[in-house]
Amino acid sequence: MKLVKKLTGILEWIVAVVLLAICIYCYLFSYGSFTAENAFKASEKTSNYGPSEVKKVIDFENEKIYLAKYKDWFSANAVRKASIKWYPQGTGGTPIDYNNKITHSYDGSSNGQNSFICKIYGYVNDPDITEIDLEVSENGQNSTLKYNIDSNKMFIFYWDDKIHHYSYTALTGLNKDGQKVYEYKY
Amino acid sequence: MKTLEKIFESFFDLADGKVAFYLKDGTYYEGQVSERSSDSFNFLTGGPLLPREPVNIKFDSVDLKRLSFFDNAEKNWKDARWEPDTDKWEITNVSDVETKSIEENNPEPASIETDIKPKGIGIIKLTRRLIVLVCIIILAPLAVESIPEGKYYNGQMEDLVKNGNAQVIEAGKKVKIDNDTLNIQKVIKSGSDIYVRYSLSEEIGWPFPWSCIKLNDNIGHKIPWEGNESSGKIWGEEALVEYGPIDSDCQELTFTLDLYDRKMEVKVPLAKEGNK
Repeated sequence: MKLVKKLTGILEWIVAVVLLAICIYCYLFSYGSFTAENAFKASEKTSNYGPSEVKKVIDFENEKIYLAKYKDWFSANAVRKASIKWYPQGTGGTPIDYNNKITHSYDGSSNGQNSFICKIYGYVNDPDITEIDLEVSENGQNSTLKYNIDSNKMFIFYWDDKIHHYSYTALTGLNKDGQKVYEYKY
Repeated sequence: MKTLEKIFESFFDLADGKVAFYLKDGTYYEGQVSERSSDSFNFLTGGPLLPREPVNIKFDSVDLKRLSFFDNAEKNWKDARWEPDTDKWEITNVSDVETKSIEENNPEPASIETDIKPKGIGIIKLTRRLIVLVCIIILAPLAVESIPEGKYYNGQMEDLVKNGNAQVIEAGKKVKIDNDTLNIQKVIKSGSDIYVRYSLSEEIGWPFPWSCIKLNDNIGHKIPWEGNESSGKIWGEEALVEYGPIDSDCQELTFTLDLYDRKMEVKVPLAKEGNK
């Protein structure tokens, strides 16, 4: 009788441990990654996109934005840290329009707390363009955000809408002499 | 030298409440004295499991070196030891106060030890059963959700097939897209409607967008999407999608995927009307 009791005890422990392992796997290990980079890679892979070439990483507290290019697409997707793991915030890319000097995109996302990161990013298809300007206005005051184009041919403007409530009016591309060669009015 | 009767008389003068003592044979008693006579006393033991009938204890069977009583004035247990040399009871405070106070609260010293043991086993047993229970509660929705859907996905479709109102084409086309596997299992034609029964096993992450798959006939028409039913599984998804209407001359369906640089094309021939 004692042996039977002991065996049932052991069996119950095995069942408990196996079930616990399945629970932990299903709820802790199945989704999300322990590093931002892995979360970004997994995000692209499961969305049938990429792997893209990362051109620039923008670091926030608990959030990273990857400015990246994959074949004829470009992207600026974010991954966010929630408690211990990183989770993707968006995926996929915008196709590059080679008939245009600049292809650009806008998106914004809230981190659920007290920031709302806005980003305007794009790909430059004209080798003459060396600088991208973004005209913004905040409380009636106009200002210009600048971005120098390097060999990556990509640019990104980002701000926290909770800090700067920008309304953006125009995106311009300047050549090395400072002449406007491209303009897009929002 | 005092007689046993006198000795006990003086003991009971001290102890008028709870008493505890050992017999010479080692038996332990704890409880209250109910009646006294010249050579013995009747004793009511404490505790629910012990007999409530008084036990008759002979004076000469008591071990005079190991008696204790609860001092009602001082609210503590005291040991009493008969010293024949001085003809007096030597009273000392119980050294192990804690033990005695436990006994005071639970007048069943013998059962304390046996009580702890089953409780210890009980906690371990309870823990593992609790783990099992909690895990089952957590996993139950996943398990229920992951029960495979029927051959034709729902009863309505099954009825259509059973009643001979639909023609089933066993497509069985499997395509791998990255780490996702799309399995177009069946194409069901009912009148001018087309139903596609598919399953998808995929990595956890972004769901595979079936909406990126376009359906065309062999005459060059796009077949419009009508609606779909799907259910998520641990390993992916199972679904039934409806398209239509299709041209009556349509003899082959082409599924095409155009998702970034991921492309795929699957052709499913429809049997001729005569083979219905």
